[in-house]
Amino acid sequence: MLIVVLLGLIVSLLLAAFGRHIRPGWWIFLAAAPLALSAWFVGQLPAVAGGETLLENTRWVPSLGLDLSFRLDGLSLLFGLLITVIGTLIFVYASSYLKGHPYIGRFYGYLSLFMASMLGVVLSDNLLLLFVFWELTSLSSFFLIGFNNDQADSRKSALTALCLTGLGGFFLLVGLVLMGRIAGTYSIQELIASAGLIKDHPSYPVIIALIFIGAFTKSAQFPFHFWLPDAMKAPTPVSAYLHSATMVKAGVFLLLRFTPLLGGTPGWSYTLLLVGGFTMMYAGGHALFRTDLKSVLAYSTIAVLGVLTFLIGLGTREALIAACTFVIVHALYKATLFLTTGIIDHETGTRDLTQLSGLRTVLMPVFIAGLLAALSSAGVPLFFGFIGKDLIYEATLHAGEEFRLYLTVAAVFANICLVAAGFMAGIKPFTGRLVPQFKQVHLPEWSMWIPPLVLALLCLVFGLFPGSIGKLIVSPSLAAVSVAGEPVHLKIWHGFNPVLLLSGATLAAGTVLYLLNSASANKMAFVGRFEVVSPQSLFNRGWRQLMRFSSLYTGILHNGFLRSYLVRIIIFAELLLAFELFKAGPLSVDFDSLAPITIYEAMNVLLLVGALFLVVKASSRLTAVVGMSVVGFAICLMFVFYGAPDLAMTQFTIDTLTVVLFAFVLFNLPPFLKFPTRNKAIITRDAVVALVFGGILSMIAIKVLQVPTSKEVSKFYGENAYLLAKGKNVVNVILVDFRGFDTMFEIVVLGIAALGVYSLIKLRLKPSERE
Amino acid sequence: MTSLIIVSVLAVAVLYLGLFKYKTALLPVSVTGLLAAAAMAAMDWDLEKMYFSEMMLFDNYAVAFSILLILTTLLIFGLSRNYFEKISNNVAEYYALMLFALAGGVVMVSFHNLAMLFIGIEILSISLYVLAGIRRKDPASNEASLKYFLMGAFATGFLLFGTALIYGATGSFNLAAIASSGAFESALFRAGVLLMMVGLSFKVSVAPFHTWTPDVYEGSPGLIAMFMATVVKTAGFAAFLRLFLMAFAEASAFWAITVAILCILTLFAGNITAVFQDRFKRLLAWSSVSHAGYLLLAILAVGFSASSAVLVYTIAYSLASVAAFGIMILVSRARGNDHLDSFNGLARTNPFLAFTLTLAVCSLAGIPLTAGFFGKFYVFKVALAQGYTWLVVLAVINAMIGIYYYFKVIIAMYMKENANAVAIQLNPGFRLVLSIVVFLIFLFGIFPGLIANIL
Repeated sequence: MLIVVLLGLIVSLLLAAFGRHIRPGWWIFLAAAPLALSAWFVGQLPAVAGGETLLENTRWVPSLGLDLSFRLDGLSLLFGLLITVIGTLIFVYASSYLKGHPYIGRFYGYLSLFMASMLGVVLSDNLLLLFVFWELTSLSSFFLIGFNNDQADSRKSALTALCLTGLGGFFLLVGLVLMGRIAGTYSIQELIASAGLIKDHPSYPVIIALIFIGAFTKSAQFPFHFWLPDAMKAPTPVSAYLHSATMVKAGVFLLLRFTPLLGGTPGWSYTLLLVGGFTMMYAGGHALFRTDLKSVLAYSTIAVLGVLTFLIGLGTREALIAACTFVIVHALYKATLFLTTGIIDHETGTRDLTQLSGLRTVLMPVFIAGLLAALSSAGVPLFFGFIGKDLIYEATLHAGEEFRLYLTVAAVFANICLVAAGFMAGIKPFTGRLVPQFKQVHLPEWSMWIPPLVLALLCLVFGLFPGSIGKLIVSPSLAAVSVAGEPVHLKIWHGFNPVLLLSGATLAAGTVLYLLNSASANKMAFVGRFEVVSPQSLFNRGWRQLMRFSSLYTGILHNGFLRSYLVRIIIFAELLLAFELFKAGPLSVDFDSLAPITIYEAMNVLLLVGALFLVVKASSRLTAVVGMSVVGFAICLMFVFYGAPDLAMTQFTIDTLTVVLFAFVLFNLPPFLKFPTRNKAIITRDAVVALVFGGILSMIAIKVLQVPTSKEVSKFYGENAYLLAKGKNVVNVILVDFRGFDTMFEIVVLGIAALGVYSLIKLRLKPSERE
Repeated sequence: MTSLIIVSVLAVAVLYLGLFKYKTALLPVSVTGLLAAAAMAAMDWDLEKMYFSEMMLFDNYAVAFSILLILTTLLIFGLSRNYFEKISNNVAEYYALMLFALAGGVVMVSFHNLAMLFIGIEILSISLYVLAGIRRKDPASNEASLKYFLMGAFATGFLLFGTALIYGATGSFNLAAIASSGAFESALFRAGVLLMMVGLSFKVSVAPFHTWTPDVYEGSPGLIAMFMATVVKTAGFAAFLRLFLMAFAEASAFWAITVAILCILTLFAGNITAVFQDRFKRLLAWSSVSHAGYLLLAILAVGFSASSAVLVYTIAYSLASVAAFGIMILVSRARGNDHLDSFNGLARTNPFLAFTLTLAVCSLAGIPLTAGFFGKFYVFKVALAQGYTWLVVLAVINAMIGIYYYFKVIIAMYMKENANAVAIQLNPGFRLVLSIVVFLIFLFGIFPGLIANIL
């Protein structure tokens, strides 16, 4: 199975390397890759239908729990077939849709990459592997949406889609890692075996919330749905393939995959029912107001995804049968409708429903395909859609007593909208009178109109022989979602029952709605008025606010002034330390234990404070330097008072040296700029910040006093100075004996510094280098 | 230890080469020396040797990060042929200063004593102050250097004061002695830890101490900015983690919340501002701030997987940064500036560069099959293991913002056209280094086990 997944990647890499050498007419042969894969999947049908699950495991990064483990069960087979069969047709279709496009090679590269990643998603048996492929589908979708790159709109929607699905993807990752940690494994089948463990864990709500966000963003559920209509900027084959038939179903796939693992709890069911139910009605209603063909299809796709989510939320056996079947139903008819739309767009240059009419005379085979698909989407008997719709109603009617009515009403409403939307997309452009401007329209190459026709015929064939689909595909899928029970029998005829009645009513109501609802720009404008409160505009507004905030934030907090940076650093450090001091409890000083303050000390402190004021208020550099040196000398005096004359000497020397160096530097500096306009508030703020900082550090210093210091080191020197070094002055002994090497190297360093200073003095800058 | 000696001697040797004007020998000598240093570092594997009465400890952690620092410097040197010559005549200064900084970095990842940590940081920082301002006649470069120096000196004050307090509380500079001193409850110790955290946060540009980063990156020459974003950041984080892992791990209950706050601030400060940038170098500078936020997540999770997570993350991040900064240098040189519009149409004129940069920003954004994905994954995983789900969720939102601004440059390259653009010429050094980086990003993205199991 590894090779099945890798084939697309290999094709994609080969295209990246040799794509430019391929002749224009040869692209169609690339369809051989998906064709071969679909043949492989078809070959696995009997085995999987017989209840087998194919497993394959290659170790990849065991330490991270990441293995290349794949599994082929009914569910993966269902999706695998969709991906490869529709993929084959899309590859054929695109070869003429994009004929002559300069970047057709890139297009096929992205498309193959997508196919490989999507197959990876449905085949993985490892949570992390699934995530890796999940992200790759988002990435390829990004490149494909942005493929029509001359439009700024197109680039923007590509980025929106990537951000939203990427966000969902990362949330999903967090959920998956949490699951893996609880169960101690990332293998999906082992997880399913220990499903109870996760459901009972306290972080279960967090996990399903994270996974829902992942699934909802990918499957375009409200309120994340808006990226999908925007994504229709992509070339039509991409819309048909990624944004309708396969990629957007990845979320649905994920929910199905995790149903045995996480499903069945109230949190799971109610969330999915609510979100899915609301999405299907909201999007279904929206579809009717659109005038752009692709927009209609986009909204009806969202509605269908809502239906699927809704069914998974219902979670009963009937509901899951309906979900699995409806995935196939929808993929077939929706891909057809997209492809016919693509042909119309390609040939007439417009997708505006208000302009298109009468195209059946010029595009007969396309009309047939569109008609068949529309009928299937409407659920007309003998079409596969009929069976899908029946199953949905059966599911809602068999739901719990108290909700049955609401669920059925919601499903009927969504389906009526879907019927009308299907007719709008599949029939509307072809009926009516042919407008003169479209007289010249002609049928495109066979490679463009054959694929939709094939898909449309499949809608009919599957509808005529539902039994074998039920046995071969739906039953094993259901087994994979681990709903026990007898094999599924899909039938055309169930007899006269409420389900049939509902189906008939839906069809009739949908048809009436279609006939009454003529596409017009006015209605579009009407819906437009509600745009203000739609999630999309809220998101956009939120994003704009973020940008504005970002610019404001950058402007204020990142103004490039060193002083404002320093103030912030100090304030934050103050907060940290003050909080810590506060936690440490009250501060008490025992004044009795301290030595009395003498007049010299008091004078010295006054001198120090006075010098500090001088520094702050100084209007010339020299004054400031002198002030600083006075501060330094005052500290030296303190050392003298407290019995450390050696230290005082050292400090004294260094201070003098610094002042001299400063003076040298001052000669080479331009005149001092005084900023007289600094306002009072800033000065006060700075003063407060400085005082608080000084206060906090003093408090720490007082704390230091209270901590019993360890005197081992000084005791050692005190005891041993005379015994070992025969010296009576302990400090001298330390300097010249115990730490003699240190002193020597310090002298060396000082010497080197002096040399540096000397060369600085000698250095005469050339006039050209002076600035 | 031998590697540290080699790097230091190499730096002095390079200075002498410059003195005697052997300009052509500079690069070969530096490269050979670095290769030797890396090899000697590898020889120390599993030896766990202490040096200078427990001042330094060359354990596997030190060896792994030393090799990473040395090899990253090597990659940067690979890009430097003909680069510094355009800036000044005294090329040897650059090599020597970068090598000195590297020596400081090696000390920072192998210290076992707070004094050595301080010395390492200072060796690194002082070289960088000079490097930032090395374009002497460029006011922006001067400004960068001055800002960096003044703020750096300020941060050093915090670091020193913190060190002093910790010495006061525990009576030792030795990491093991501090860890076993049991003084974690004293206010002195706690204030010391916080002050050291502030000092180190400045060095690795963690918000709100990050403000120097964009200004300094922008003012410094491109290769120096690259050096700061890769080698300096890696060394800083390795030192940060080493200190908190070996000395303060037992007291994690009290500092973890502070690190968590710093982490959120950093992520949002970096990303929110990066969104707004339209110059690539500044964008990278801000993104480097946000990456510090992700790395803090790993520091929260003190334990052995934390060092592995930081190693994987810094490897991925350094590789991607070398590519991103390298291409930024090429583009701004060829097209006059590093505005995002300058990247328009690069996919047509230079498919290789566009592909490399795409891979690099995908890696920075954490897209699977690149090394960066595993970095992020690993960091998230260790943070989740400590129960920081809320923090990871916030980090994930930031990752989304990251995707937005990283992909702006991909959009520029692939989806916008520039009719006047001509192909950019690559010299062999660039071609080689970028190829190696592409290979490694893929290699570690597909076989992360190669780096995930080192520590």
